[in-house]
Parts: sequence; structure tokens; C-alpha cells
Amino acid sequence: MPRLCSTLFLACALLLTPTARAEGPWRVGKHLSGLRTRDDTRVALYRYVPDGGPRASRGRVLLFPDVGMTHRVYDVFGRGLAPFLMRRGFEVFVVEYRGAGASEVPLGGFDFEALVEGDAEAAFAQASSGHERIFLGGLGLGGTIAFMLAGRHPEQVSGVVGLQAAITLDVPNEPVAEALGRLEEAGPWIDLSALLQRPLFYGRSWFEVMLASDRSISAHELAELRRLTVSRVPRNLVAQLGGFMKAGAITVSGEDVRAIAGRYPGPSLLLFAPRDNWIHPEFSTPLRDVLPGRTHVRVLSLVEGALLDYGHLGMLFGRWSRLDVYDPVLRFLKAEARRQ
Amino acid sequence: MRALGLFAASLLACGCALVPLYAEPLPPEAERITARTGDGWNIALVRYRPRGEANGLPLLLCHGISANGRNMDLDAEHSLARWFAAQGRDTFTVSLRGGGDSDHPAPREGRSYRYTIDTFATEDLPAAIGRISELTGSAKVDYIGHSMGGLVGYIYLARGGAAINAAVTLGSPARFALGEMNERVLREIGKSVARNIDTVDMPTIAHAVMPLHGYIKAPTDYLLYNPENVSRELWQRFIAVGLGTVSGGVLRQFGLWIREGAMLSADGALDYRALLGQVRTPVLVVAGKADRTAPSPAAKAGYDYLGGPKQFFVAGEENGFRHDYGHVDLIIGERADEELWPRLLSFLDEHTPASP
Repeated sequence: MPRLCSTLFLACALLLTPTARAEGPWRVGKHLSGLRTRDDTRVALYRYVPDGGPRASRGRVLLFPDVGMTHRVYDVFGRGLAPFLMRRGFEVFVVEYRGAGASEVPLGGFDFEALVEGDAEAAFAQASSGHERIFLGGLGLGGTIAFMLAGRHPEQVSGVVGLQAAITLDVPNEPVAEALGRLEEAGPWIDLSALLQRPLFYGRSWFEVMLASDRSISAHELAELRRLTVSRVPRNLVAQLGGFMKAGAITVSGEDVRAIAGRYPGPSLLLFAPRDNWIHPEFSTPLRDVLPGRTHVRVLSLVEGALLDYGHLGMLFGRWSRLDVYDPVLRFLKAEARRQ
Repeated sequence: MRALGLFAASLLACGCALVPLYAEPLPPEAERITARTGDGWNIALVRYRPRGEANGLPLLLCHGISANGRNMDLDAEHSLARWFAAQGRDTFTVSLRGGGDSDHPAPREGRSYRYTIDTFATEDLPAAIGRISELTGSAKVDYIGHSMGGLVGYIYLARGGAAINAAVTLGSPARFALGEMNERVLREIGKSVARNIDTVDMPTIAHAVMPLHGYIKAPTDYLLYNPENVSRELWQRFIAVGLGTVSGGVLRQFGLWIREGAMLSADGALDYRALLGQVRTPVLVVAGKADRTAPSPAAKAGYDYLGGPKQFFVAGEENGFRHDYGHVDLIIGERADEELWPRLLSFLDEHTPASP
């Protein structure tokens, strides 16, 4: 009798907890796990499992945040591209680079190579394990990383989504040029969150002018995004990005990303935000020139049929992002998943 | 059908009759001058003598497509020409052939509709600069070109033109592959243009609905200006006096550029992008952040092709401007005289030779 009771209790407990919807070891919803990179740094990988579990998913998508941003750029308390795609049947992974969010903070700082060779490659290996091919996507320099990985592992990539993905860099504007000029005065770590809260022009903060320039994000969400999406970055990484701006080229391990991305022959969707003051459209638009595969280009501008001219974070959290950004991304993923 | 025709005719008559209400005549200090091109066209220039002590080289201001010299002097408060004259520059505006007081096409008198953007750069611009040199004694001029006016400057320089000391291009697109929808629309327009259109009479079309401009948002409104920088009254004034006809040749050359994704000469023989790499004239390239006609990646392409010295600058909130600049905001924006034009002047001053 006691044995029967304990069995019944366990069965009830299993039915009443979320694990009841599990398929294998995975529960439906968002999960955090750790990854060890090749240089033994622990970085966070978020996994969004759709209804029915991984086996029932329409495909896997690995998303890269912009450099200096957390995974929250794709998920602010259930609102964002990652949960949106999960709810529509895709299994989504979002990596959080070293130094950001739940990932380890290396004391000596890190450079762009470490993000690509360490964090991005480890996340790619994890997200693609057991799957023949996955989708990649990224915002800003996260998009750059997505296209780099696609160029390196073309046979494992079903398609790439670039949200204002930079393929070249230049000094975007005077405030950034001035800040870069004073970089030597900064400490070894730069707290982007604090920096971006400082007032810049006409009572608007750096965050509002540079990242939320299209004014499509509500004040409440703006405050949340400012608090949650940006992270600390090491000075040496910022100096390296400044070097890319001066050279007009982004290089990893001595190779220009234009050459790496040019080796990816598969399909891609490029979304350009004309009012972006963080990653300028001048840095992302030339990406379409280097991709040899089928490329869909959508400029998020009124004259191209969008509901407003988008900026950096407005693409993901603007009033009309669902219609102008999420839906086209979903259509692209569904079409390519069906095709393959 | 007849009723429709009558309605259109009365609309046009009413609209055209109302145009003078929105227009402001040229100021008394403006001097009208004519230059004669090598192929026999008269090109209208207007001179604004420097106020106070003259400094720097003479300055030539050139308008864009479907426009005329009045773009650069709309009224007392919105005048790039009068502003530069007030800074001590001997300033000239030009109306390219087919616009303003310049000769318009008249095939019977030997003036064909077939002129192209190349013609502006090889005939009109050299004639204008030559006339300015005669009047001022200066062998070189500084140059500011808006939109297609900047492209005319690029072509002049790419073809080896040596009479420009330093140049500024404002919203001049040198890249045509931007977004799919844009390209589709332009390609469709390109196809109809290829069917032997002689000219598009923009002033007549626009004046027919003169009182409605600024009230009803047409696609052109979105394309051409940011209402945060250009008021309804200002836009109406621009429509009233600032438009010009466009020749089929000019449209066909743009069509060629869009089709080929390259800045080619009208006969396809020269690729100006490659030639711009040899240009050593200092050029400041300015893009409007809210410019939907020449978006910043399109303007930046011109900067990328140039040999240098060169500078690129985005007119927008990120650089301390009150609002992001649209296409015509660069030349008539409400705050352009405070926010933008001083930067152009300082670039030109920086490259003024020690003894002009």
C-alpha cells in the first residue's frame, strides 16, 4: 500500500509540474544552460523549446545579440523575437557573449576574435548538434558573426537573417568619434549601460539618440531595454572596434569578414534600418553585394512599405516590429524550412 | 471623357493662377547672368555679391533633378545663396538646361530633348564656371551640388575637370541597389521611360494641385522632405518656384545606372565610379539621415569611390541636429543655416588656397 501511494504521488507530481510536457530532458519554454568555449570560458546559452518539444520543431535558429548586449535584446520578459519564433514552432537558441548577462566575465578582458572563435563557435556547435542544418540570425555585429559562421560552415546552415548586420565599419558620428578619442582615459571595462544613460542632445540620452532613434518604443519599454539589454565591455574590445572603423574593415584572424561571408552560398534575409545611429545602414547595405546566394532585402523604411523608418532597437521592440520585422523573418524561416 | 478633360484643365488653370501667391521674387541684389555652352544653349546664372569683405573663392551652387536655381534661394530666410554671400563668398546659382531661366528644349531651334546628366557635366557646368571666371578673375571655384547636382560635380571631376577647388555634395546618390521594392518601382519607371519619353513637365503636374501640397501626403512628400524640418508653407513655396522639367535623356541615364548598378556615362563607355578613385579634389559628402531619395548608404557610396581628401557626414540627430534631415531639408531646412551650412563653409574655407 505505501508503495502504491508513493507511485501515485510521483505520477501526480509529474502530471502537475511543467516536466509533464517534457519530451526527453526538455521542457517547453525557456532554459538556461552553460557552455564551455575552447579557451575554457563559461558562456550562457538560452534555449527556447516550442510546444511538442525539439523533435516537433520546424527548425532550429541560433540568434546572436549585438556586441555589448545581452540575450534580452531578443527577449524582454517574454516579448521579443526569440519567444515569438518559439511560439510559432521554432526551437531557438540565444547566446550571451562573455562579459554579458549570465556569462563569465574574463578578468583580463577579451577581443572580437574571442567572441567569434570562442563563444559563437561553441554556441554553433551546441545548437547544431544532432541537426543537419540550422538557421542563424543576428543584430548588428551579431549579424556579422552569423554571416561569418555561415561562411565557415555553409553545409550546416539553412539560412541566415541579418538584422542590420554590419559588413564594414566606419566612425558613425561625432559623439562616438569623440568618445573613441578619449578611450585611453577609460578604465579597463566600459559600462555601456551607465554611459548610454548620459544626456547627449536636446535632453535625450545616448541610448535614445543612438539605439532608440526611431521613437517607436514606448517610454516604459525604453527604460526596461536600457536596464536590461546593454552590458559592460572591455576597453580593448572597444579599441579593436575603433580600429575596424579606422580601417573600414572588420577582420577576424586576419581575414576580412566580407571574404568569409562571401563563401556562404545559401539563402539570406537582410533587414536594413535606415534611422539606425548605432550600426549605420552604410555599414550593413554593402552586405548584399558580397553574398552570392539568394538574398531577400527589406529596407525598413516608409518608402519601402514599412510602417516607419526603423532604428537599431526599434527593429525588435518598435510599435510595428511584429508586422515589419518578425513576420518577414518568420515567413523566410518557414519558406526555407519547407524548401529544405 | 470630355468632362474629365475640362476638370483637369480648370484644375491646372486654378493651380497655376495660385502659384504667384506662394512665390517670392528674387531679391534686388541678385544679378542675372547668362553663360553660353559649347553646343549653343544659354544657361542662367544668378550672382549674389559678398556682403562685407570678400573671402575665399567664388562659389557655385547647383540644384538637383527636376529643379532649378531657385532651390538655392527660395526666400529671404531659406537661401543657401544669400547665406554664403553673407559669409563673404561671391556666390552664383545655376539653372541647368531645361530649368529656370535657362534655355528649354526646342527641337525646331536645334535644342534637343536628348540631353543627359553627362551633358550637364560636360557642357553646362564648364560654361557656368567659365563665365564665373570671366566675371571674378578666379580660375577656380568652390562647388556645392544638391542631389543630382552633386552627381554632376562627380562626373565633372571624374572626367578630369580641374576648375573646382573643393566640392560639397548634399544627398547625392552613387549607389542604386538598396531595397527590393524601391528597385522594382524604379525598374518599372525605367521601362516606361525607355519608351521614348521626351520630357516630364514636373512644374505643370505639381502646380495643377498647388493648394493641396503639404496637406495631402503624397509619396513624393515622404520621399523628399522631413516635415519636422520643412513646414507646409515652405514646401508649397518650393513647389511654386523650385521645379524644372526633366528630359527623357536624363531619366534614361538614371535608368541605365539602376539597371546596371553602376554610374555609367550615357553611352555606357565610362564607369565614373572607377574614375572617381583618381579624383584628388577635396570633397565633403553629406547625407541626410531621413533622406529617402538618396539614403545615407547611397550617398556614402560616392564618398567611398572618391580618391580623397574627403569627408563624410550625416545630417541627423546623432550629430546634434534637432531632427534628422530629409532630401530637400539639406538646402531649405528651417534650421539648416544654423546646423548644417556652417559646416559646409568651414570645409570650403579649410581648403581655400592661401592666395586665391
